[in-house]
Amino acid sequence: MYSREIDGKALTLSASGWVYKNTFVLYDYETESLWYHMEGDDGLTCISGAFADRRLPEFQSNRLRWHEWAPLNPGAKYLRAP
Amino acid sequence: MALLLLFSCFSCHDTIFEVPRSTAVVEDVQDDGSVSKIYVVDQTDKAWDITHAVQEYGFDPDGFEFGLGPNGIKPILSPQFICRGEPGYPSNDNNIIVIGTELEGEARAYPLTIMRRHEVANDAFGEVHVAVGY
Repeated sequence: MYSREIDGKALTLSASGWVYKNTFVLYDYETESLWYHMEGDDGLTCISGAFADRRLPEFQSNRLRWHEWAPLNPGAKYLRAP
Repeated sequence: MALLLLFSCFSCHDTIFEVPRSTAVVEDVQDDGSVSKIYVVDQTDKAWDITHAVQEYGFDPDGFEFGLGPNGIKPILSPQFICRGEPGYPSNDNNIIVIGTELEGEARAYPLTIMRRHEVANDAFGEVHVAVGY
């Protein structure tokens, strides 16, 4: 999970349709800058576009099974299928 | 497997849209031989300027794969959530894999079954705007 705030505004991130080294390349609707999670990094880096070299820091998230996570987070909300 | 073409353009940008419907690497070469712009063209004929990625971060243009186009995978723009006790909320012994997060005192789970289809969920925890990626 990453921040999508830059210069006080919220970006809208989306898949660009490209995959590089088995990692999705993202882009933002606002400027069509490309964003990529570099190997070993802890955030997204803008690799091309208006925000070139800017970063979006990562927030902690865990990928795990619901039965392991839910009891520790009894108030958790669960994403509804759009 | 995407077909990759190397196609050099010596003069202008407009010819890049003549390449066939496939991924292609297009270089805009100046008269002195230097490359000024590098694009990858996806399956929807959209050209993406990757010059900075190549020149500053060492990306290999041929390493950009698939190129399905920006509308192939639609992100979640206004995520809606189910609370405990409501229909559709999984029981505690469900073994579905989720991306579990906690921010601003609120915990949210994004099941991979949904995230796989959308790749990104644009969400906000209070005033903190985040993107959850698959």
